[in-house]
Amino acid sequence: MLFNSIGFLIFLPIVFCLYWFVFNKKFQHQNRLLLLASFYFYACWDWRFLFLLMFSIGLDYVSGIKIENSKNNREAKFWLTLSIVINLGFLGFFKYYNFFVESFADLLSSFGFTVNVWLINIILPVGISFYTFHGLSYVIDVYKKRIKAERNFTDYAVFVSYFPLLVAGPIERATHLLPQIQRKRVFNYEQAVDGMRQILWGFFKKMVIADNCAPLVNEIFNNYQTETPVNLAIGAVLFAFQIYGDFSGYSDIALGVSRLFGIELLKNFSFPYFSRDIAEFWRRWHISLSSWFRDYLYIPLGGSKGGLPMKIRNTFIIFLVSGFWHGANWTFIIWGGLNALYFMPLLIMNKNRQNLEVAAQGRLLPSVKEIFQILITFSVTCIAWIFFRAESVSQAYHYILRICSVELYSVPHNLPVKVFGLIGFMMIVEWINREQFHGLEIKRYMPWVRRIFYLAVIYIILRYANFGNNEFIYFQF
Amino acid sequence: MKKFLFKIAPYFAVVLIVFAVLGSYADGNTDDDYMHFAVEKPQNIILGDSRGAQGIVPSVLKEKLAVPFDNFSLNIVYSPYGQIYLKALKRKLNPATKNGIFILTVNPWNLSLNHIVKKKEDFPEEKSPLKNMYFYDMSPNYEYLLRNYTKSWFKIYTDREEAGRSNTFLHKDGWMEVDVNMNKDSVAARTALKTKEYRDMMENYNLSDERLKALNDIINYLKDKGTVYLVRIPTSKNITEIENEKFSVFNDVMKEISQKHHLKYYNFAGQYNEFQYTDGNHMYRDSGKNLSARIGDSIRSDRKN
Repeated sequence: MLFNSIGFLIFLPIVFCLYWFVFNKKFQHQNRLLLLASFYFYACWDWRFLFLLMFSIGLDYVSGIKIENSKNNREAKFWLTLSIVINLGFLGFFKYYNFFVESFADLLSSFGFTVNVWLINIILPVGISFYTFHGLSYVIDVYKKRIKAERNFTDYAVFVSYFPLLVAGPIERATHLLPQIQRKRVFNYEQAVDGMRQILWGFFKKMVIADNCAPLVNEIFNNYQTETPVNLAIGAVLFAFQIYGDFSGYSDIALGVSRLFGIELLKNFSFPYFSRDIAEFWRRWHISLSSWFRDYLYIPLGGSKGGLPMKIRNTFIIFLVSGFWHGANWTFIIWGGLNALYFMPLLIMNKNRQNLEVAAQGRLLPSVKEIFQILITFSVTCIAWIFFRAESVSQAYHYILRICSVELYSVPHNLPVKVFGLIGFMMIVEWINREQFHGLEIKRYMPWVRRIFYLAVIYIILRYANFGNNEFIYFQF
Repeated sequence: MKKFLFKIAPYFAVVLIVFAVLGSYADGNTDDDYMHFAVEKPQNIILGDSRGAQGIVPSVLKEKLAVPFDNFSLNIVYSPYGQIYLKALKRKLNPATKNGIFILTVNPWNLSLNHIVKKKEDFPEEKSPLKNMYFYDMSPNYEYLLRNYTKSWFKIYTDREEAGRSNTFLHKDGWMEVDVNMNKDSVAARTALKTKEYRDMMENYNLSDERLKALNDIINYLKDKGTVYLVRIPTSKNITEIENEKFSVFNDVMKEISQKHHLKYYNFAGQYNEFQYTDGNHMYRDSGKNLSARIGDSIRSDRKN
């Protein structure tokens, strides 16, 4: 079930009303309702994979208890390893089997051996990368004694399968979400109203920005061999906004929906395109994944303790793994590697933590230096996005090669003025609210200003949105 | 909680009212299929793909046969012969139908399948509105607009018929009237493109057992409710030649089906020189009227006998 579908517009009010009016006596009843609703939400996509989700939940639930009950560290380690191997085994099979087989065959053929590879037509279970990481973080946290193992199966199952975050995150931590599931939720008017604002802004970003950029981007990337350099550059910029609108829009809807149920999820985006360097960008883009890799990969690898060479090695590892997490294609790995390269100058000069506050904090406009920094960061990000979007490394390479031409400085034909106007509107609104929790957090304004603004955003959605029930990009990951 | 619901309700009300008002303007300009789902259930029907949609004019048939017709032909992707089309037909046709006249336009393509398609889920019509629609006679049909209309609903209002007909206008009787530049060079350019497209398709398409079975099922369903006619609509010389080359047995297959079910098969393919086409594949509107009159005459003489 997609957030931007009629089914969800019917599903959400029903679950909301049952949650607050029928099952509100005990939070345990509410949790059972959330679990049923989440399973139904997932089954709407493909009920067969519900069993895989249930198996993953059961495995980590049992592993957590076994780890906690272990008499010695060896036993605990066994259960941790078992959980990690099985979880990653499923992920590897469904997501990476064909990639490894094909890459192995390519490698052999480069040595002159011809092999007939056995590829499988596998359907990738939606959300598998996300719920696998939920489960992994839980068992690792139990092993590290950061949390106690959850004994209530329903509570644990809700933690993994909670429908707002089930298919595309944010990737939650047991330490953050489980305590909220284990206590009584009280309806909070301010939280619910702000949740609705966030949902509205999420729909705007998805249906107006991402879905209007998508056909233009597809057209340009599909015809990159004949498009002019300036149009190719426009295609890369539009894709940057498409993926931002798509994924941050999804996250806004997920967070907003969850707030209607009295549950706060981790913030996933914090105005990344206003970043002044790539380190700041990665503190603001897909925050839940970046912090997951920091806590469960970068730090266990030694983090920044071992001096500069160690920092460089570990940074490359997490970016490459992050790229690989996105998909079984060399394009994603190069995308990750490219971002690691961007990171290097900051790391070497020890300037990767210099922009911790939002740009132009406390001021309306940025300085010339900040504008310059923001534009440079955005430009290099766009180059990396070309790899992310391209079908193959060769396509991305030729795409970039064609951009690097003097013809880049020419007048574009068929400039999508309407789409750039809508992007401009989004960026202005987000700039104004960049110090807030989300892009439409406007409770500080007078009620009549807010109402006019809500109606304006609703009007823009109705006027310019694409109502084609377009899938979210991150569903494929 | 009450305060929250009270505050958000007006916004939902505004959105619903806007949708309701905009949807009420939906007409034959809205898109190429909407009107098929927003008219009364017919008793006499025309089936097929875009050749049928543009080539058979129900109003001409009505003049000839004195009964109203509905052209329920969409296009080659949405309405090739298949189980989805049969299911849609059952919902579309007036359940009280007796002594109806059913014209099934056939050609090699709407009875073929790309050889790469192996599973039912990959059939092209799986994404057709015929698959997801329940109501076929609701006006305005909000179900259709919510499920299948992907543009902004403001476009329904700005592009309404009153503001000027679009180049592809779907009449209430299901006839798709196409208004294009019929200048000789434009037609030649479009024909060349279409011919190339069909020549490319030729490599990958074969007559499909599933589609032929569905055609038989549709005939079996309809022949209890009236008289069924199979009609092959002509195309330009180039495309006819491609079809004869690739599907040399097609006419024999159709004759066999018609004999099996004791129904008439009118094959106009050989008369391709007597009509004008917009792109070699689809009949120009005046030629469509001419062809419809010929079909009407043939059916009338059959019913007299």
